[in-house]
Amino acid sequence: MTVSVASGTLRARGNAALLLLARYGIYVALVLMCAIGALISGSFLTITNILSIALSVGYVGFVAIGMAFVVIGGSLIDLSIPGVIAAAGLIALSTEQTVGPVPAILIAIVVGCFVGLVNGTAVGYFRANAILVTYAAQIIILGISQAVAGSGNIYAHGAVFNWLGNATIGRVPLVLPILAVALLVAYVTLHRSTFGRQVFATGGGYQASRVAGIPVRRIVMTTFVISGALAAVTGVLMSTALGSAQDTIGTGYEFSAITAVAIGGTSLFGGEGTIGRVLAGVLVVGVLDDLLILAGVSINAQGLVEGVIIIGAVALDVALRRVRTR
Amino acid sequence: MSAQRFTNNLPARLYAVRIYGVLALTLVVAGILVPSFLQPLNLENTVIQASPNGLMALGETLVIFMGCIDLSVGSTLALSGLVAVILQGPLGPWPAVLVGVLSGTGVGVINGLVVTRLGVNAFIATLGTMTGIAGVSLMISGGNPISPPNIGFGLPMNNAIIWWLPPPTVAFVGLCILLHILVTRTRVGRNLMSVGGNREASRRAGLRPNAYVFGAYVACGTFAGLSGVMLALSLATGSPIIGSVSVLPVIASVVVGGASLLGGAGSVVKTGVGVLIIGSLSMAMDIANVSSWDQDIVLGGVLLFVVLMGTLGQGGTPGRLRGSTRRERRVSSVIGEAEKGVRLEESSSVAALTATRSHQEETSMRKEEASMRGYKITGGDQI
Amino acid sequence: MTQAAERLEVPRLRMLGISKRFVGVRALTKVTFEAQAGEIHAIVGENGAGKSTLMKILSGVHQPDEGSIEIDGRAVRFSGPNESQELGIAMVYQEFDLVPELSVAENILLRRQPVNRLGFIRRSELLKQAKAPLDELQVGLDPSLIVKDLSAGQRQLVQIAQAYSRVPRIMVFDEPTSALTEHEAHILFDIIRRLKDRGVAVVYISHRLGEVMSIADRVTALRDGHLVATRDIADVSQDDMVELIVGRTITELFPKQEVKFGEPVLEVHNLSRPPTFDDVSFSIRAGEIVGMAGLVGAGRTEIARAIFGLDKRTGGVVLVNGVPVRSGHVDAAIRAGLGFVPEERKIDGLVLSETISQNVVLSCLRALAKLGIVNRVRERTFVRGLVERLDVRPPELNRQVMTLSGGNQQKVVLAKCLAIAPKVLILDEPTAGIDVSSKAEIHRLIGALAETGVAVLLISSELTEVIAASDRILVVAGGRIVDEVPRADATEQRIIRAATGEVGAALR
Repeated sequence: MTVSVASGTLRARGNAALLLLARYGIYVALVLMCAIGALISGSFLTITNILSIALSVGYVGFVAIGMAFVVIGGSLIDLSIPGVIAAAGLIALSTEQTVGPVPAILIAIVVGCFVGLVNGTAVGYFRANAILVTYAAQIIILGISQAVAGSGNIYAHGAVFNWLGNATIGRVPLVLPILAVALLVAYVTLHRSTFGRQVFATGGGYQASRVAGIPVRRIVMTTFVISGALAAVTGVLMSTALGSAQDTIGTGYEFSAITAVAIGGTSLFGGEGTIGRVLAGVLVVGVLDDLLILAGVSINAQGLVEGVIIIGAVALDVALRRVRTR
Repeated sequence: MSAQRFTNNLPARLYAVRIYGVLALTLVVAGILVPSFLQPLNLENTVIQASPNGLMALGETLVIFMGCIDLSVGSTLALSGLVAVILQGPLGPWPAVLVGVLSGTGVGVINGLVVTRLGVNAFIATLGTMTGIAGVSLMISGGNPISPPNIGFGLPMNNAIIWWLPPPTVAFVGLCILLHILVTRTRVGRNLMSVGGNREASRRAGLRPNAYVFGAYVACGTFAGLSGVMLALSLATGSPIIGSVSVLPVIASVVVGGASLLGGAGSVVKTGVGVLIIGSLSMAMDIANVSSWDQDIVLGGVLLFVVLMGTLGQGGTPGRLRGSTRRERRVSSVIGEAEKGVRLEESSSVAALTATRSHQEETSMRKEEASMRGYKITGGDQI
Repeated sequence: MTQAAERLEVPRLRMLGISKRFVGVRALTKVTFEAQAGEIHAIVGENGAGKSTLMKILSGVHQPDEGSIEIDGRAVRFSGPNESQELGIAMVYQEFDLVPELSVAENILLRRQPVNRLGFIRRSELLKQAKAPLDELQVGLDPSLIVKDLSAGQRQLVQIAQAYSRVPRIMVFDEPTSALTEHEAHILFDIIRRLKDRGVAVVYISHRLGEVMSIADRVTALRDGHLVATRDIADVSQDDMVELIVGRTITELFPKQEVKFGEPVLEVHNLSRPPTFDDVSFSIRAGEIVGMAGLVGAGRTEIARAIFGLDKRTGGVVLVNGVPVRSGHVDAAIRAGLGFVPEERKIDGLVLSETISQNVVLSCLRALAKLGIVNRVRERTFVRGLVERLDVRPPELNRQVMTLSGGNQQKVVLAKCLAIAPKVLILDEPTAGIDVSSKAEIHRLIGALAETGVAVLLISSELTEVIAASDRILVVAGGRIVDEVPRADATEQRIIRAATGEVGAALR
């Protein structure tokens, strides 16, 4: 009798520790990784390096925010992001000469929203499987982009785009302040607004939300529109920074985005998550990539490491979740 | 009586085999748009070219029967081909082939363990292995395709061995038939379908669901490995990036073939037909010189269309991989019954259970059951 | 050896002094329970009394902290469900345990399909072996039918045949009739009696005391994890059982106030969606509680959902205070003043992963927000008020609702409905699966609501509840209202006669 009581208490204490780990582990991991980075290479803590991390973080950050909305809303994933990124860049750059820079950007974002609309309608109103639909959308839109771009290159022209691509505030590239604004808006939208509450509710309990009068289908659709719009923004920023539009610029970003979201501890089943954690996840992914480069790991091996990381992150999340619900 | 309506009458049976109609329609439409498609040589080549994807689709079908998914098949395809090609020199041809196939098995083992032991969502897990294994392929190949001079041996992969079919196609067709028989006629196969159909019930019956999920992934990896080795030998090249675009046609084939992504429903042969449908589209577009980008558009559109068609008349929450709760299924099936024009009472009526009774028997039975339920004058009913 | 002799000697099943504790909760305390071969022994008790824990221990899912289990006098120990099955214990659950895409025969013989040497299933043998338990139980189902095409009652029978085919010595039924129509339940009872005749020890768990009275030989009552009493059925009445379970009498449970009725608030005219329901018309006045009775499957929930806009309707009008409500739109219904407490509270009523506060405000987010941003202070005050008024325990606004008991969860659902100040409240089986004391609380709340002028539609399959709480009872059968019973004339007899009399006649 006493044995079982004692082990019960021990287990309770163990559970408490694991729960702490679940909540704050991501931040601990981040700090640890930075420490490791500093140890591995003297150049880790230089401004140049930090800025380069920041730059890659910037782009992933945008798409991760969009992905977070989709995931929290219960739709699991948006695989069309690379296609939208490429398409947005192509469209912005190629229409700039005819309509001017600002309208070109707007058109690109509208296209991103449109793709999101199609995805969202299929998943929200037709209740189709999000993986297949967004994958199909990705293929289609990438195909269209490739067909349009053909073999020729489309370059960025004009003062505005050049500025956009190279502007810095101090030494901080423009991407980051824009991202910061986006994060702030996302935070307010997701955690303080009625819309955000409805997204959480839809992801956490679709039928109950329906009974409560929440327009669930529209909410799901809107999350995809947000994701598409943000992916388009990313595409525009990346293309102007690169100076030309290529169909491969978005490759892998859906993967990075879902990794960031999952590592940050957002449940892939929906209904849970915070923007802060998404940011933490993005930072972890960014720092990790940087660490790999600094450690001299070949590009080829990076794929391997990334694969292991995401599996590890989700496995850990699953294990912790099991503890939490006992 | 009303129950039999669903399985044994003609409209239901026609509905069940509609995929063959779709295949016929595809061939007709392709033939009209691209007349040379229907030439015998082109038709042969369609089947031959579809075989690598077909092999992968067979393995993928097993995984989807479990309600899971395997995104890593493309990466496994590349890896196994590379392994066989690289090891051909040191180990000799047949051992290299074996190791190549086994490398696919190994990937399947990893997938199976991650999903069953670590409990990671199948989508994320195989997304991880897809990236990881692609990385491994890049590592061992240095990023470039490998074409050793004396590749191939006694059995060149491009020569016909049975009829007009070369080894990969023989493997595809043969394994398709074998797998179908396994799934429909053997105990192992039926247990597999039951685990996919209702995991809890299978567990309570004494089955071990994790074993079957694991087995499905191992099979899927092995099939992808086999396909990769055969492909590498027939192309005389091991390439680290081959297969990166294969996931779409493979999954599209399975979905077009009618397997339910929730698990437990579908047919191996129909996946085979799905492979042929997708393969025909690709071949017709190739002949018509459609650019690869446009082909992607068409394939993506087909997938989208099939998915949307599949969801009309179904319910369910978005994005879930493992399907709705049992209660949701029950509710939606009840509503489905109602919508199919079967009244709730009728579907549970006496007629389906026993022979007909006289009206008198019915009324006295009703009185009995009413009193049996405690609807007595003296007491109340439930608390 | 005769059965009578067996009965006097060693009981088929004996669970002695079973105790089980979960984190922070003592689920069972020294419970002793036994069942004889050829006996139907019922277990009754409120939710949380320990019935399902006891059965989970018997089925091997949990291990007891204390106590022992004997089968036919031999002490046994099982570490998992497989072992308990091998020892002859079969469980028949509420949730159906069948694989929908497989046939009846394949489900019955799952994992034990007859095979030839190559591992191929012998089809004719499979059908023959599956027919055996079906025939013995006199179930006339074709074993080659696919399960997904069967009705709930038929599936239940397949499940029983499956359990029976393993030649069990003990069979446990856990709320088996909750999803069955009257007729299916009748058939089920015949089968259970046949099991008894064949010497199986049957354990029957149910909330429905009427059923227990008619089928059981003995009954054991549990309360708060303790054994209260074990009696022969002949020696108890239903009221006795209630007292054993609860410690209170029926009349204390369902108090009814006298309320003055106002104008009609809810008017439903010719609501139709054949074949599910057709030509439904009724009205409810302010302060009135109208009950809706009928057999399971008569269409009451479908009618309610159509009124609330969750499901479409093909014809008919719904008016609240004379204003028509748009069909098929839940938010229109809510804005018009309709509130709905659904039958499945965990799926349709609550977002389990969210907190009490978040759930309560689900329908009224916009009202608490300015410029789209939710005002957290207002939210907190508002929710706290509701939580106190309904006495939700524990009253922690940030507590996840999945940790609450059934009764408290239902109160949260009610709070969510009250948050929009409804003029009409529709409740679908509001006290199902809830312990008795919470049931009384909820009825008190409903009564209080009626006093404030809310029009209430109460759907319930528990006749005691419907009769005690309603001013008027509408009886639904076959998707139509077949009788309207004023409170003074409300008897079980009349309601049942109406509920069963029209089955099959309407809508042909």
